[in-house]
Amino acid sequence: MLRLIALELRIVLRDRAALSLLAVLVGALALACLSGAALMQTQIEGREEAKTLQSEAVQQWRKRLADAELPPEEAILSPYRLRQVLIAPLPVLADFSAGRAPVDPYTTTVTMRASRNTLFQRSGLDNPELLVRGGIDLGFVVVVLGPLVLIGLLYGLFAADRDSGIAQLISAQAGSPVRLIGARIVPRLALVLLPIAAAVLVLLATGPDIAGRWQAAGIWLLVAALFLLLWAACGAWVNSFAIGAETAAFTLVALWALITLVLPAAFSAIVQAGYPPPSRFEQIAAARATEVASTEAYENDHPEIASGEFEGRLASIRKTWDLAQKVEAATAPIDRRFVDQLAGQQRFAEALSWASPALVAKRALEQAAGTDPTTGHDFRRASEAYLAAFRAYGGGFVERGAIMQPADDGRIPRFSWLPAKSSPWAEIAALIVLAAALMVLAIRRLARPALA
Amino acid sequence: MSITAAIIAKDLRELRRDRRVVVMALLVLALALTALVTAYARISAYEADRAATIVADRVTWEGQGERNPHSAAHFSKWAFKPLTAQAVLDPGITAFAGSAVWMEAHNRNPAVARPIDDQTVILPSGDFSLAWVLQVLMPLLVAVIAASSVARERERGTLRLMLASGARSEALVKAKLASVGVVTLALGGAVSVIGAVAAAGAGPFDPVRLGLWMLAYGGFLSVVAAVAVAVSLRARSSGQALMILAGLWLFAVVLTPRAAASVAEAAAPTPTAERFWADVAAAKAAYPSPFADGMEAFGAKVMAQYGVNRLEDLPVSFGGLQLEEDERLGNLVYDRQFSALFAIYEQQRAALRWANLASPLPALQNISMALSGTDMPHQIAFQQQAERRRRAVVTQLNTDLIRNGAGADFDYLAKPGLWAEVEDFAFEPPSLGETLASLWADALILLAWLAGAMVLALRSARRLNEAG
Repeated sequence: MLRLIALELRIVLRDRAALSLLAVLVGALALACLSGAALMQTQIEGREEAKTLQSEAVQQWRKRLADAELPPEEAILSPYRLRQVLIAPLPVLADFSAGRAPVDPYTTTVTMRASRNTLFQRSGLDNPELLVRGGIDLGFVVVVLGPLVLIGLLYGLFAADRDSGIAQLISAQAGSPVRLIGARIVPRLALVLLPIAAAVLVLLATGPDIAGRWQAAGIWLLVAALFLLLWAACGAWVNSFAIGAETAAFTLVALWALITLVLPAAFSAIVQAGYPPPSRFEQIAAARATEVASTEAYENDHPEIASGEFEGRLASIRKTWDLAQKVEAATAPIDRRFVDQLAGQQRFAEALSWASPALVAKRALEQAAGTDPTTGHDFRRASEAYLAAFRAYGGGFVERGAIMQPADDGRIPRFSWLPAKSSPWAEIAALIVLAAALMVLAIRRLARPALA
Repeated sequence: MSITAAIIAKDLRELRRDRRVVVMALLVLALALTALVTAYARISAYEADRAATIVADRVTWEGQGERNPHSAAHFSKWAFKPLTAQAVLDPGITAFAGSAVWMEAHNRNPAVARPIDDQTVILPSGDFSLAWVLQVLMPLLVAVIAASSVARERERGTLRLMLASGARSEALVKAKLASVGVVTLALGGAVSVIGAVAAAGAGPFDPVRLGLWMLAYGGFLSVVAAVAVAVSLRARSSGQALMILAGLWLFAVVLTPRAAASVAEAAAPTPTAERFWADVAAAKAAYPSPFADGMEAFGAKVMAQYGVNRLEDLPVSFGGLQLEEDERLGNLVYDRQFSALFAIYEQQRAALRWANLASPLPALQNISMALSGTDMPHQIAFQQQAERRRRAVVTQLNTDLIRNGAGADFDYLAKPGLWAEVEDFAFEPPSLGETLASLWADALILLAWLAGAMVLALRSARRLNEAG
């Protein structure tokens, strides 16, 4: 068997069309590595910037608290001078599968004036013209490009022998062609999988040192291997029918287009029609109407110029705090309805995606990478929860009319969110079952001598 | 019947009988229809929603009662971006671009409410739309149709027969180009006509823009057809032709635009949001604020201007003047920072154009988005106009405070009639002339590709005599 595999490997490596396909794969992998490394660098730099801003804010804050000469009319405004920069942990494999990393916010600044709706409004300056075209990452190579390269290498697995009349000879001499086809699949699959594994190693060796990265990369590579194995099994299954190489190529390309392009696009349309996203405009208008209705004397945003006296300023920030609470309470049902609608859409989309192995693999890769929609969604919810705790803390001083002291610094709520650790075992199981089923079907069909 | 017409008729008959091609064509048509229906529903709902929001917000705005104009300037108004009827054809950057701007005093806020933030499915290969069907699926279908156009004749031995019976290789290639072209344009044309009907139903649309849009796609699909026929002319078998064309499709349609986006970002990196806003804050903190360290000098200047010796003697609101001066200084910072950001976007677009050496698709995408009113220049125009409106609204409110708030400043309350005088934001999209002026490079690139593809197909004819 090993000699047969070695022979097949030599045959593939002598085929110029196969080498061209592999060259495209290697080129795409090189681009994916560069692009992934650049994205990871941007994510690291963004977080470093945020950390710098946070440490500057902490320094200024401590200096302010330690300033014994700060007049009371200024010191009473301290809760409104406090800011906390929240930073989501770096996704372990953002350089492997970008997922939602380029579009989801990963930092935000919390102040007493921030609200749920404005918390993330200043994130994301990336050029939409580039975002709409997407990027190349290893996940894209595995889900979109890899299967097509594999199809190019194995569309004529046995069908080409039928075209040339050798298939009957093989059946007559060796009986079942299963071993031969197995020996043909192994080097072809390896030629696609090994460069991907090499790219994984390159990114691991050059990327940041994050706890759990190697383990996540192992799971990521397992998903990639299973998905490509599924396509190899698909190739064997299509070749088990009594068809020529051209029809096999056509069928496989059509299957690829169906699974990778058509079904996801159709699902997207179904999700849009079935669960249209709630209206952001309506949310904005409702929040504004509530804001105006919540107070008859809308407070301006400058307590420092509203009054120069301690009592006047305290009254001013008390009105501001009272207004903020009223607006928050009044808009909470609108926001909750909005979040519920989005959650329903998410569940529906996830349920539909099980029908496309490409979407299953994509989701599993992103889950392993920590760039899936759930992680981004959880960071937003955690930030909102922190905002509530932060405002309650600062609001307490406003309500009591108390001036913050240096000792209060240690009591400021801390943001310590970590993404939930979940591995895509259900997706992995689905890929295993599908690949095994197709392989068994292919073997059973190929074992019939009449198919030659 | 000439031999060219006979070949075309035979090819069309064969394609009609090929169930695989018919199924694929029907699938593409069905997807195009689905894309149109969903886009139509989305845009209609969006526009209805936008109109309702503007009306509701107008009621809120006018019903805020007596209030200090600066309080109202903080509450301010929102600018909502309209979607044109042509967005049914190509949503362009819509999913990734903010559609609402809060026109608040002191702050130039970014456009928010990006659909992508609420979108749970990010497709592995681009957003689903009619443009996506024409840019991604149609070339694949054309590749499948064209792959066997000459290669199969060679496999069957009918190619030798045709050449032996007096058919010139050039005529044969022209016939093959014509038969693939007829099917391509019939399918693309059908999809585009349905798109035009949908666009007409979605609202007022510009027929010139639509005509140019269809012309651009016609050019692009002609490039694809010509290259596909050339590959079929050179391939050993139809299977090999199909694989080569699938590889080319993958390279030109799927890989190149993505690789170009990565390269453009590397060539002109966008600053992180954290850095950008920190720079804005630092620049704003650096100027002498008329409320803090610049107050004395500003007060002196104002007193000199009005010929008084004390601020209390001013016939206008000093607070209002401070606010307006603060806006003026802040606007200088925003102009500088946003100009730099938009210049980076422009550099990225220039870098993207280099990708046209490898594929005509980026040029087509630019043309398609621009003519649909969904490209970056349209988005920047929206953001710039919203910013101009913000400044106008804030100045209008500050002016009322300046004129009527003397002595009272922030305790002054404007009458509700003032709110009715503040106009809503109305977006003026760039004119067709302005749009076309930004597209000439892309149009030239597409034309160059078309010429190159035709030359390639016709030159491949020379090989027929040798390989036939």
